[in-house]
Amino acid sequence: MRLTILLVLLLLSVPFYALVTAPLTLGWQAVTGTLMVISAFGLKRMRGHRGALAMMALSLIASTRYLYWRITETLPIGPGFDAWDLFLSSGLLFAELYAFTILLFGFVQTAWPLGRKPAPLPEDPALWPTVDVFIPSYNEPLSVVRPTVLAALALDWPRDKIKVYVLDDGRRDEFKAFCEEVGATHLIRPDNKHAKAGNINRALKVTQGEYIAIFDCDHIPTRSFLQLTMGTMVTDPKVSLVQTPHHFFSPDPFERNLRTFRKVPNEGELFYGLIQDGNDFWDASFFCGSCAVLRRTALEEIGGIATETVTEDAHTSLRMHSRGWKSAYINIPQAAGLATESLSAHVGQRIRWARGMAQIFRVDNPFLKPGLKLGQRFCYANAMMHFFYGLPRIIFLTSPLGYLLLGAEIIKAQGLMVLAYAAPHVILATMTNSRLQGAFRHSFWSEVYETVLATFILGPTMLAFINPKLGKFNVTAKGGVVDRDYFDKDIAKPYYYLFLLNALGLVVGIIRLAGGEAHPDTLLLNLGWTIYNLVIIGGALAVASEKKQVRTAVRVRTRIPGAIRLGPEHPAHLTPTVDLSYTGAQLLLPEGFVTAVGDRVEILLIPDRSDVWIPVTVRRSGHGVVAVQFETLGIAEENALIYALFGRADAWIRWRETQAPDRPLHALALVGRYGVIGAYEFWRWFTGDLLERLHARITRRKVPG
Amino acid sequence: MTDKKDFDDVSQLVDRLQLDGLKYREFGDHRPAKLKLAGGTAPASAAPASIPVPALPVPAAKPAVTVTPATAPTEMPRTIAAPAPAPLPEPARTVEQPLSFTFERLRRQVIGSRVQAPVLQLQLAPRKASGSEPQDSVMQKPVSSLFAQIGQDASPAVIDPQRLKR
Repeated sequence: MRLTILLVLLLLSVPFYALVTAPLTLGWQAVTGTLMVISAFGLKRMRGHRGALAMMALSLIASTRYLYWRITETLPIGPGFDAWDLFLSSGLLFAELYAFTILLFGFVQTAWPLGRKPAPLPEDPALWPTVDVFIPSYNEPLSVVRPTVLAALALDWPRDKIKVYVLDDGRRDEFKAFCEEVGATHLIRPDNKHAKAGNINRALKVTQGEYIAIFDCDHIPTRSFLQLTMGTMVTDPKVSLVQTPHHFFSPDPFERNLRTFRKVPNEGELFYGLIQDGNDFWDASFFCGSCAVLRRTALEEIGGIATETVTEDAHTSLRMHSRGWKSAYINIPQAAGLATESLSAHVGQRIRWARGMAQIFRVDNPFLKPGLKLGQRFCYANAMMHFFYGLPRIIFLTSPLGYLLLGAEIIKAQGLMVLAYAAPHVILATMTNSRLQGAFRHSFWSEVYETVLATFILGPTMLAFINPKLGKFNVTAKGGVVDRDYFDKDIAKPYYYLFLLNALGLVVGIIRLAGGEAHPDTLLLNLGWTIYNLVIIGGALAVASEKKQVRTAVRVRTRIPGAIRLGPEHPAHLTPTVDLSYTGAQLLLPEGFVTAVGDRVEILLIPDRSDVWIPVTVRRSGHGVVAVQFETLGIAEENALIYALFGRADAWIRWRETQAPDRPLHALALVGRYGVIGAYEFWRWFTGDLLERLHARITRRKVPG
Repeated sequence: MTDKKDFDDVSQLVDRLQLDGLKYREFGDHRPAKLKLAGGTAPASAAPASIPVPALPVPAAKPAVTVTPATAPTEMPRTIAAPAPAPLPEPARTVEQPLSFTFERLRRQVIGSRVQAPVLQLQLAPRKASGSEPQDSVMQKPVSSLFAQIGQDASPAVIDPQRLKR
């Protein structure tokens, strides 16, 4: 089989080489590029995965052809060029080579998403294994941890085969009291060595379950979590890990500040929706720290959770894979948590991921580590190299300025030739990615996500690459509230410098164009690139415009059966919910049910499975709905609420249905819109801030006089 | 206990994701509620929440005693609009309505009282169970004889089954 694949690849390499290296004039290159784009449109209509594979091949040809041309024909070497030109040109070429590598690895990674189904468990539950559920916590408030613990206790698994442990690194008395009240075990240790990894390793020593289910303290499992994941473990004794998606029921800073919650796929959906499924094909899906089950024997074989890096999860599964253990990914959301509330917290979390991946790349490089299969090397390498996008992204955002502001000749070619080679490369890559990833990442949004983080992860990744021991684990803040609208000028500082630079480049370019330029096509190309950069940076500025979080508890719109009554002696009215949160609910107002604001009534959620009436106070009634606020809940009431809100097996499976499919031009228009909004909001803040400072300075001068 | 439709989140998950091989076991302590329903109440879940203003007037409420309340399936927010003005008659105490809503509701009630649903009165022959025997006898006939019978008919477009049976 391997020989056949090798032979096929050798045979294909001949026409591939010819297509990539054939020298063409401007006209013929334009025709070739146009034909390639037309072919891609044809392939786009082809249903099934083979069409996607064909698009990948075509895109690779266009991109490789472009890069071959760039390396062999366009470097500014020779008379008329100086070291400055070569330096800037090399920078751009490095960024392009990086982007090409990530594109290529990404195609390999997502060539055939596995779409694994849960495997059945043995008929007799007596044969089911024992499971320990670990919920590590450090400084999160009990209000964040409570639902997770209660939902873990409600997991559908034989009662004598499951134990729930709260691994409390904060060593808090209220946690201990809560665990005793609900029947969980409160585990503490004398120190906080190695943060979360050390916390789990310590718990491994004092527990005995055959399998370990791990949930971050704000990731609330559905009741079906174990029955959907454990079958795979039991069926194949070589599987060390079953991972499920991290689902977030609250908007992250991008979604809240741009108001795209559940309309545009968020930053994490590409990874959990497609990449992990693609990794699974190569037996390379990896542990993400939460919402997963691990086999104790596999963990013990590698000495527990890895502690050398701050992304202990991916590092742990890399080690298990290198020992011959397998992994599995089940792409069914079976737990949900809170997204980071503010952009600064979000950036902090991503910095940790980036630094951790860079650390692994240094200390356990997947290309060099023995025991891994080729596909696993590609998948791990791509996951790590992805976080090195900081420098390439900044280069892409500043490259045209080299020409516009400094007059540097970065690409030794006329503008139309660059267009003829670059356009098919960019268009085909966009179309192919839209075909592959469209359901999980809309076109052009990667640029916004990366631009927001680029300047922040650049330093940590470089430092971690140079010295992997630098830096410490930082806990991601959850459960907070953004209590006002404000422009986060500290986070936005890199963006507005980049924005101002590009704006300056645009103005200078226009002046040069008006003044008569020797190469107007090159100038126009750079101007177009600058405008695109301004739009993307504008999008980043829009994200930095923090929007007030209206509610402390996240309201989940969900329609589940319920009932309402005035009191125990009154009849019940069946009515479904409109939305539900941890502090209140909104139900359709049943006909004949008369109530007023301030009334104390009772509601019942999912009467088919619960007889626990929850005491509530009416906050609003009218227009066909009644809004209620929960009163102090006992454990039984809280359990009923958690089941209805988070614990249902099907709680999150239709979450993506509200998202529109990706249409690249539409996505570009949307990103452009946010770019304009961001630019406007920045300008408003910038001029306001300047005027304020000017006013303050004048006032200070007047006072002494 | 009411005779309402069962709510089963696991079945919805299994059906939705086509997890046919999954045999789910319950271990939780779930006690269905025994409800004493309000008399003369129609379950509000009968009105789809996703439609802010229904196109047709809502039918009159049926007596709740005989009603089988359709338990709303678990649905994701797309199908649920923000608090929508439901078409059900408002209780007397809920008077916080915009004027436009009130007019709209009145307008729909007026239209509703005038509109008559079309009633089809078909003069159909009494229904008879179709036995297999006549069909078999037809099938046993040679095709040529069937075509010959058709050709003999005055109206070629009509096939008289009685004639075919002979």
